Amino acid sequence: MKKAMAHTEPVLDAHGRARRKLLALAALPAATATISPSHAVDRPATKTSAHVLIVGSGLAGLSAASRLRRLLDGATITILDGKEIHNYQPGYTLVASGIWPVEKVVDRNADFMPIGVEWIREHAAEIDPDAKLVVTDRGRRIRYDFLVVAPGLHLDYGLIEGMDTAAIGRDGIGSVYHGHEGAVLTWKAMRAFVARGGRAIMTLPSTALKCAGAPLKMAFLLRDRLHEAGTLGRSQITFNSSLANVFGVPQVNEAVLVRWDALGISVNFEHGLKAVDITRREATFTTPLGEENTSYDFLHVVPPMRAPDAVKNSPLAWREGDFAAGGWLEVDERTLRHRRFPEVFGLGDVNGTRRGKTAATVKKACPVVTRNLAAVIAGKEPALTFDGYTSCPLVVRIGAAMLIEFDYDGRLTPTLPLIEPLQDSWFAWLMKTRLLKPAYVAVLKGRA
Amino acid sequence: MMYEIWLGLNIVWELALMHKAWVIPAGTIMLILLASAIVRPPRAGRRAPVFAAGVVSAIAAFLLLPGATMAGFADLGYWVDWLLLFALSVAIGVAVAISAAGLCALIPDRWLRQIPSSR
Repeated sequence: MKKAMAHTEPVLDAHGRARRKLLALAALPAATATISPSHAVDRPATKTSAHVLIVGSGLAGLSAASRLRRLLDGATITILDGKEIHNYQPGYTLVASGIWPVEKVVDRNADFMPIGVEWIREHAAEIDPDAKLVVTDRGRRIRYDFLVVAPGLHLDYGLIEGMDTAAIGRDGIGSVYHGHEGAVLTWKAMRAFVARGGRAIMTLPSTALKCAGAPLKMAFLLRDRLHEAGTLGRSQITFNSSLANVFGVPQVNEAVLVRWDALGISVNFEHGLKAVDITRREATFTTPLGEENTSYDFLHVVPPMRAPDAVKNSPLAWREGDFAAGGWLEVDERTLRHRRFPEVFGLGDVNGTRRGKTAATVKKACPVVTRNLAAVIAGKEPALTFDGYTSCPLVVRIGAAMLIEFDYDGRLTPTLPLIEPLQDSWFAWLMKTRLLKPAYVAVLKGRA
Repeated sequence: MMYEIWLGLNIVWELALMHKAWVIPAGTIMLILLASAIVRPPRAGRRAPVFAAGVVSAIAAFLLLPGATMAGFADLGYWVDWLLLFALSVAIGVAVAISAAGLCALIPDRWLRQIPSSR
């Protein structure tokens, strides 16, 4: 097998290695190994000299690397990503509503890079699956035998006329999706709005979204903050959805709309944010009756989303169907293997599947991808299938949340059968604010 | 269900790693006190204050835990919430009682004899 042509860099310094070894020595008590379920802990390795390239170092890329290190004996595993910061994105809504400090969502990728995995600190610019080649933004050409595509997605703020991400945090503009800085600045804009009240417009685009519950949480939390500040009486919150619903799972959609009706949050369907005039604080929406201009005091912008250019412009993207416009990765939704390039698998937000752009999706999908890839390397067919599991701890106010889990078909699939998914609870709030980050880190390390 | 147990253990492990600056010293002290309580269980005269410390701590935990998590009793609208709060409070009460028992065992008898209520 050909090795990567790239010059690769050591992943950890001596201090990092020593610390990692210490942590490894102090790893989970041996007793836990006896109860670890088969899909959580990977079996002994398949011997191979293959080069596996992983594009992306988010939750998907790092957890796949950790698992593949254990599953593949002798393989060269390379992660390609120029990103140094690792963001705990499920915490963005908590930062953007003033519940968490930003430090809780910012880590270093180097701290989670598995030992023995090469890390090329460059971004993928082009993918040529026919030549099994990835070209980086600095022109480096990396050949692979097997490819895991996990670069996340692209926030297309540019599709909203007049939108300037530099305006987030001032002039009444918030956007929880714009990285950890965006979350901090959104709280700054929200706090200023909450102090005096006024007219808030929350938006939802028509594209697939990562964490599709985040726009809803922001509406709930804004209402709660207004109530807390005593400015709710002179405020109005309107949620403008580009779609005919606010959430893709009908039962959840209905439950949210009932709650919003009781809370005084009004909803307009088929209202897509087309343009924003930041200085005049005026937003333009496309509606079935034509364009509608609305003034606002606070505007929560949720950008349209699509696959990153490297995937969208490559032969790996869907060429027809619902996922073609966004350039999403054409994978089989059950095996998560590419439908036309058998040595390619997809993991995380980039996948063109019916649902599932959350950390919870990665948690359940990563063992499927890595084991199926190991099977393919061993000359077998992928045996594991993914049911589309995703989860959304939907915060409905500070102190309570709904723990919603569902699959591709939109069926509610609660992990704990006794917990009613549509019942708000302190338990779910504790899960969201205290327990999910440690669970995320365990997934990141390929253990859960 | 095995996966959920595994995930739960991982969560506890990662939580401990995140807060190791105080988990390690606090855990060490707790282990010492636990060992001390096992080796020298409190005598009859000392059981009442140990029990009282546990009960008071459990009640305090019950009253303070929601607020400490940015919630209030009004947010506990589900039976699972009350069960969880009760369980956490009892766990804290038991931990405090064990610590108190261990502490009692470490204090020399001659010191305790000077405290009227411990006679």
